[in-house]
Amino acid sequence: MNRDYLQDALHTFNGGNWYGWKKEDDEGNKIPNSERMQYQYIKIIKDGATMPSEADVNAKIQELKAEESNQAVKSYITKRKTAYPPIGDQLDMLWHSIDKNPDLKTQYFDFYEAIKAVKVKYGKDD
Amino acid sequence: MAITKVNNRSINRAAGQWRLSANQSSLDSLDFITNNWEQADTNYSNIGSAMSESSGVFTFPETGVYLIEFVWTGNGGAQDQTYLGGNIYATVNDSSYSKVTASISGADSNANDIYFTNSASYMFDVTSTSTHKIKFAVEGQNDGITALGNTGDNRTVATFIRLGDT
Repeated sequence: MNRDYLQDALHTFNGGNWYGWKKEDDEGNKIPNSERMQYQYIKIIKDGATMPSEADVNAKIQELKAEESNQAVKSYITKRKTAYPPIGDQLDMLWHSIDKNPDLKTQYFDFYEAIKAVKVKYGKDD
Repeated sequence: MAITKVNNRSINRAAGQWRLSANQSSLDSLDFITNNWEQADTNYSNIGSAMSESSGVFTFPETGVYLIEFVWTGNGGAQDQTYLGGNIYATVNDSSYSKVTASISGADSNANDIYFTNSASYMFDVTSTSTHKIKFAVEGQNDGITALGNTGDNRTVATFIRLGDT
């Protein structure tokens, strides 16, 4: 189901649950079902509620969309963060990849040699 | 009044459908749905006498045995909802309401803003139109529930069908 941004935006005004939709226009003509849920047909059903301007409602809709977009970005960042292997494992994989390639050994000489020196000093049989 | 013959008996048939025309948000568990009920009017009009409604209380147009169907579509809000459901409440004294149907469906405990639908059904012997009434409520693990409404299509909807005399 697609999110109903207009209604979600309207609920942020007047403490929520303040509006309904007109079924008839000012001349008493039935408004087609598919056309009712527009700003122009909002009716206030809550005491003390005031009608926000259409510009304010549209601004709120854009704000909700931006918020949702930010949450989607945060969502993939969090998923990746928890799925990555530990940093130590990542560096070890990197070192072994370099170890298999003479060109990379030269290109990343300092990194490769520093790790290798530790591996030699403390061999697996130690 | 629509007269129908069933087993050679004439009964006054009536049927009507009401829906939520706009979202009702920030509902706590067991809150009644009180706002924006409207008679559905998408390619449809009421058969027989119509129910009446005020602040979520439904009153019957005449005595009889009624089948009541309550379907609601909603959103669980920002909190976890391991269950969500819809309840039908009835009174026989126009005062104290009892839960007469509880319909609970499973939801997701780790997903916020989960959408779901739920249905409940109840047959009610309405012996008095002044004392026998109906209300509808939502139920969830946590608060912050939204019942979805729309004036173009049915999302949260209650159907009342008069089956026969009391």
